[in-house]
Amino acid sequence: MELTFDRVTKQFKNKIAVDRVSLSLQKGVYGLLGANGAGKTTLMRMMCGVLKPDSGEIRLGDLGVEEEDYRDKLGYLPQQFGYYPEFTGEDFLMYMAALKGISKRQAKERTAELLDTVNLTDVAKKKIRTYSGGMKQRLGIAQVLINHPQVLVLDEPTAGLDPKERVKFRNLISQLGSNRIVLLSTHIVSDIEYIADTILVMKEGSLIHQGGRSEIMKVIQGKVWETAAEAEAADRWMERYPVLNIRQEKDRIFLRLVSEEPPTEDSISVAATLEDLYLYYFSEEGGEHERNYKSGRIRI
Amino acid sequence: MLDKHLKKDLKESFAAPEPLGKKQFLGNLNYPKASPLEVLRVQAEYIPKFVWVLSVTPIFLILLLQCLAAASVGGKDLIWYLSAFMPILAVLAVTGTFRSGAYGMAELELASKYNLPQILLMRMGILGLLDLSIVLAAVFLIVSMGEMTVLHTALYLLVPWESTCLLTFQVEKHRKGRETIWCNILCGFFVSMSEIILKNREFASCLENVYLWLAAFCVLSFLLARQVYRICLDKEAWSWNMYMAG
Repeated sequence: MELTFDRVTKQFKNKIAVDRVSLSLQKGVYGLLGANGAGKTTLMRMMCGVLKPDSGEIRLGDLGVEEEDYRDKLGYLPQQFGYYPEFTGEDFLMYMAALKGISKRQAKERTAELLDTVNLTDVAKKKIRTYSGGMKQRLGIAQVLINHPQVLVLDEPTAGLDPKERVKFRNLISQLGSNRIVLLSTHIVSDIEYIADTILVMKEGSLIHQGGRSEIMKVIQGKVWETAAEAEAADRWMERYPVLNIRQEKDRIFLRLVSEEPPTEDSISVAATLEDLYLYYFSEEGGEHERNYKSGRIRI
Repeated sequence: MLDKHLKKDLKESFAAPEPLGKKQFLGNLNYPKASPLEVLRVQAEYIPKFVWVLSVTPIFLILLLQCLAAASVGGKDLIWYLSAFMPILAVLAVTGTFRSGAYGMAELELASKYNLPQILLMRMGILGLLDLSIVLAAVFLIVSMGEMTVLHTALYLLVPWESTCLLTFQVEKHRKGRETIWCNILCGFFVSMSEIILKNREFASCLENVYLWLAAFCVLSFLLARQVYRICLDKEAWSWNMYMAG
């Protein structure tokens, strides 16, 4: 089972939202990382047949994404979704089951099972408008799984979940990813760090990195430093290096930044995290350095 | 070959091993599918009850009027009041059809096996048939009063219905979210008031010209059919404007 993207492009008026993206997804969990406006949601919508690419194609084996048989194998959780006002949690899942072509008897069993999985059995008969944000999100996660999909597309799935629920969700996705294609996008970098087998980094419509965690971290491994300075020196460093974090303590400023060489004698080399990479790519200075890095003008 | 007594003893003495990967195996089986008719039935079930109730109200009103004031209310009076009610029927039908966009369900429905264009077609079919049945019943009742012909009655009821449908389709195409409901109500009110004003100003000498109404009906029918065809083909403009929330 392979989901292929072949030079997929989508443009809205003057903005190219997705720019000739080509990739191939097999079974496993893929984390899609990118800033707001990078094109993640547009890519996911094209993957689900919600939007049509202006050029290129997306196929699951022999199936095009516009085909009903493809949608039969798909589970999609949008970034934002609503509900009909008269719906209870149970009604919502039964309705989605019908849309996904599941018979009523099977839908009843599956609905009960999923409500238990997401801990909503007690409130199944209550109207969704009485649910908290986290409960609505859990309901959304439940509807994704109702048709035993082979392809799961999750756009910001952990938004609104508390830490305990987030851990439970991560475990669920890890289990599902063993024999499914799972693509999830999130700004919560730790979610991707813990569960994604492959990380896809997207910026300005293009896929700029693809690989396992250790592979994509090579860009900044051994080049993240922590140092303390006076305000004036800190300002100079912030102009010169991509700064990942700034912390003010009493009269000194602690900086976490990226540099080929130690910025000062007392700088400490620290282990780079995925969040460092994210900030490095998606801060203004990081963007400049990333452009220079890609063009070969500087090497990190 | 094991002795059957030994087999029985073994079964009783030792429990069967736990199945490995049972859940995964069951999850990978093809589940029983719902037929398109079942999906149609579900769509009919999820049309709000007030839509059904409000839609059949005119027929009950006609019957009530017939019972209470049979002599003083004729077919010609009744047809104008019913004609003014048809836009409300159209607003109910269109709002019921396109509620996916109003309530943020469109994106989920677009990605389903029976996706949004199919769902819209089902809802249009159900609500369209309902309204058509109401029109037929109203035509039968009014014609039975003796003052109006079948053609006149049908045209005076269908033209305001179709014109409201077309107006509200444009609202659904160009507006998003819950405001479409209010815009549709305004459109319906506008067409409805036009009907009442025309009656009160007695432009009847012009409006009695059935060919004008017939021409309007033909043009509106063509435009409506074309609009439905474009929705079914899932044109991108409809998808983006109508379905995407925010």
